[in-house]
Amino acid sequence: MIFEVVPLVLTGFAWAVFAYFIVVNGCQTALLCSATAAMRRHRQRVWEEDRVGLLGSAVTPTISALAPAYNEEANVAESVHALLMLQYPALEVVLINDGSGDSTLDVLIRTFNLYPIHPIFRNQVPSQPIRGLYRSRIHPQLLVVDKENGGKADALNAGLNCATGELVCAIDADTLIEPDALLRIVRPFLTDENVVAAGGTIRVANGSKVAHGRVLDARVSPGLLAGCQTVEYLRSFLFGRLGWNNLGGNLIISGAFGLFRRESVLEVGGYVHDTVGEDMELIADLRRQGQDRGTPSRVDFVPDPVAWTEVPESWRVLGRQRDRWHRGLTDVLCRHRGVLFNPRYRALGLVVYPYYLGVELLGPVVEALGLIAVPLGLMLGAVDVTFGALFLAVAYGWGVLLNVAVIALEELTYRRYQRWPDLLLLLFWSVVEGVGYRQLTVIWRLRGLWRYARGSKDWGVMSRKGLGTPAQV
Amino acid sequence: MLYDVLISVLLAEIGILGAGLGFIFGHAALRQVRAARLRPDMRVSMDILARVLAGSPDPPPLPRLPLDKAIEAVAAATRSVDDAGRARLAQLPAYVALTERSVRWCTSPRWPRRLKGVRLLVILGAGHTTVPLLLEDPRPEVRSAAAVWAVNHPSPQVTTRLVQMLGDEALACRLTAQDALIRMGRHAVPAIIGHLSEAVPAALATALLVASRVRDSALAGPALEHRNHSDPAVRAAVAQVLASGGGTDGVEGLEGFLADPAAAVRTAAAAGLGALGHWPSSPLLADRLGDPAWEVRRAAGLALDRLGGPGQLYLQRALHSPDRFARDMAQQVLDRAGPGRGRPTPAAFAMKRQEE
Amino acid sequence: MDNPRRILLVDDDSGIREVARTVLEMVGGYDVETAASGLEGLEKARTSPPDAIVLDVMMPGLDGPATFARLQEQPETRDVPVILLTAKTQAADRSRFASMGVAGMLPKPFDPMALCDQIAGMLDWQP
Repeated sequence: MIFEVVPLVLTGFAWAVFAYFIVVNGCQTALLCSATAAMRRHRQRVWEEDRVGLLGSAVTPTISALAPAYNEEANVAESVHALLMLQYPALEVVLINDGSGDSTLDVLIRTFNLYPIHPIFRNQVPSQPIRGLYRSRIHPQLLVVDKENGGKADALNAGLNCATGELVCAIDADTLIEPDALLRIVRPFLTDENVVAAGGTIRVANGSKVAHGRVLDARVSPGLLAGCQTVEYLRSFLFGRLGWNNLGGNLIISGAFGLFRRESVLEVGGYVHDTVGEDMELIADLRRQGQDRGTPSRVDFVPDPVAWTEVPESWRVLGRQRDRWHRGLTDVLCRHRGVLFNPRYRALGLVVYPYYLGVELLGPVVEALGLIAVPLGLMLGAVDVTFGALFLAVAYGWGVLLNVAVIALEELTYRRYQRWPDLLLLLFWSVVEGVGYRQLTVIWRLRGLWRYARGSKDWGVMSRKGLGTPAQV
Repeated sequence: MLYDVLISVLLAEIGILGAGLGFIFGHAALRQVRAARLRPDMRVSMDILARVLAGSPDPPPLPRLPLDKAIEAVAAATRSVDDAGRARLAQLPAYVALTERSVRWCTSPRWPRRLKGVRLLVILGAGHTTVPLLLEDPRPEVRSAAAVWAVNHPSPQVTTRLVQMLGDEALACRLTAQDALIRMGRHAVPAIIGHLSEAVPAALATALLVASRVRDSALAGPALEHRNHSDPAVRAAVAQVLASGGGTDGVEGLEGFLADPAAAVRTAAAAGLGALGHWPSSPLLADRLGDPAWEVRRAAGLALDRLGGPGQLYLQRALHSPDRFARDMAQQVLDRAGPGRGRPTPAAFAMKRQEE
Repeated sequence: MDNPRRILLVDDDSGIREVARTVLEMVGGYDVETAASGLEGLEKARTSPPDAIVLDVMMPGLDGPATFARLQEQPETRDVPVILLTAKTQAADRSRFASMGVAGMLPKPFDPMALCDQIAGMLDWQP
């Protein structure tokens, strides 16, 4: 009797997966359309806009750049120099030494001629004890905070306490910021007072020529993992985040680079300690609090490229990263489950949250079940071979199409990759990303979900190649 | 049946993929070819424009360029050009044509086109009859761009309108208007005085803040009219105007504000006294080192620091104050510039101590 | 150090009196007495003559030069050195003040540290 039921179940299952794929790809296509419209609007608004004039403006809000550093003696001086050279009229650079075991602090003291100042500041959010504050004799806008180790979120909180800017941006040690990034990413704050956070496009730096904390020549990496991630980042930023701008706003900015209102961040209690995905947590908290209290709650996304990041090129490290991200996402969605379908939160609760729950969080589960059920069904004869193959081709083919659409959007707008070999490589990776790479991330994300369910919340350590050395081209 | 659906979808996908790839390659190739084809013309144009700017008498005619390239060339040439250079450029027929086109765009019913027109007129430095009207445009983007244009073309009509824009409903317009007025400097003073002298001026705090950045002593009087306004933000802004203008009236007003019930006003007053370098106010500032509000204590401390010798002495004295907050703040301020800042000693005493 | 030198400071502005007193006391180690008007200054100088007098020129009632003239008349205060705090607009009067016999002049707005310097230099000059 069981042998009659099982095929039926499997077929039903296959249909469910089928429907799910249609929904997901439909959502992605909708996002693509929204993103294209948003991109067009954005280009119209910034046509021949005098950004340089902004440099001399007296009314731009002050920005504090918070950069936590842990055991970075090799590159901390270079990173700080790159930050100090960011083009912005009123910028304060706050480097937080998170109890490094190596000579990070000594390097800083020597390079920037630091002197200690009395460590009194407004302690508005809790953090590990601060051992000292330093100012620089040669760069008056640099502030160095020395504290006991407590993790990235804790370091950022210490920075928040000591910073004086109206807006803050959290800088990842692995991220290279474009010189005019702040001028671009501050735009939403100048046009809409309801904005509480803004993000920009992060691109993959692997394969590009890097020197002195800047990307000099953008190239596409010939490495498999890096290449796929290049396409993945392009897709997720250029139409994922941008698409959400007009459909209810984003739930994630990116740990790598985002600009926030300092007051609002302090009010939500800064960066929360016990969460792995700090960036997602913060945005969700900010939006929810803003909508609860009627304070700024909009998260806006600027399509301009603002930063480059080094992505993992080893399977293990990448797997751990995706695992960690998925655990973070799960944690955030669990904590804020009161938002789901709650009309009080309007688009956030009715559109954004359900999407993240159904597509981003549960997606790997459905995909995995599909990938198991379909071959199983094939073996038991419940699913037709050609049907199964066709279905997979259509579903994954659609994903490849979306990738190609993103490349087309990139070709029409920013054109950061100028050479033909790069364009061809990009298109090649688009295919590989859609058929192969993405399925792999399913495994990692599932692992993250599983580990979250079992209560695992540590912060993994990523080994660095060191961005000071120029990559092989 | 489902089969057929799937197959047609698959075929459609392949078709779209092909079209997409074709589009990408085609677009990239076209772009490259076009750039190569126009490069010599662009070089010639830039050269001619440079010669015109240098004042050469009979420049050859500019080669025909597509619109976007023409704009690119002109934008690059006019990046940092003075009025005389711009006048020379304005005589070129190509320049005149671009100006006429921009003016036409400014009257378009579609706002992206109007925006383009204004932005181009900013680059060209023209449009004196058209752009001021756009300061009243229904779209905030266009109004804001017109305000940017106004910086280089101040006139009473324009400055009055900009002062009104300080209370605009769109944030971008308010910020651009503020910035424009500050950049205009003394050209903006009459309009600001006129606005401050109204019975109930709109966006009063903002107007006063702009006045404080414009820094003209004529603004102190009109600002003082509002010194007893109920809004503490307004009073704080009056303090900032007094601090930027100076004079004995200013000092009196600021010292009065040190006793204001609102912390923001006391902070602005303390900072202002420090900025004016008025050391006789040191005792009053030293009192503020024990103020209940942290910002006031900090401002008082920093002000004393700025006042040189006398201020330093009061800070040193505060290190032994019975008030813990005053002690803390004095210590924090004295630490700011780092070690090596001992007690100030006049030269005569230094020499005398050496002899002893 | 022996008995601290005594300075009499005469100025109608309370802020200046307060701060200049603090500076002279803390930096110079002097004993400072203040007076808010020319009359009060004359009285205090007569009852306990100081080692030096700082005198503001622009005061209501008895102004600086008039006070100085009276000080010269009183035997107790005839030989006390006087520093005049002059207003910027009185450049032409500086030679007049000098011929009157004042020991020093300091234009306003003045740096209290500079006043301290000048007093020190003046007092050390005394035999």
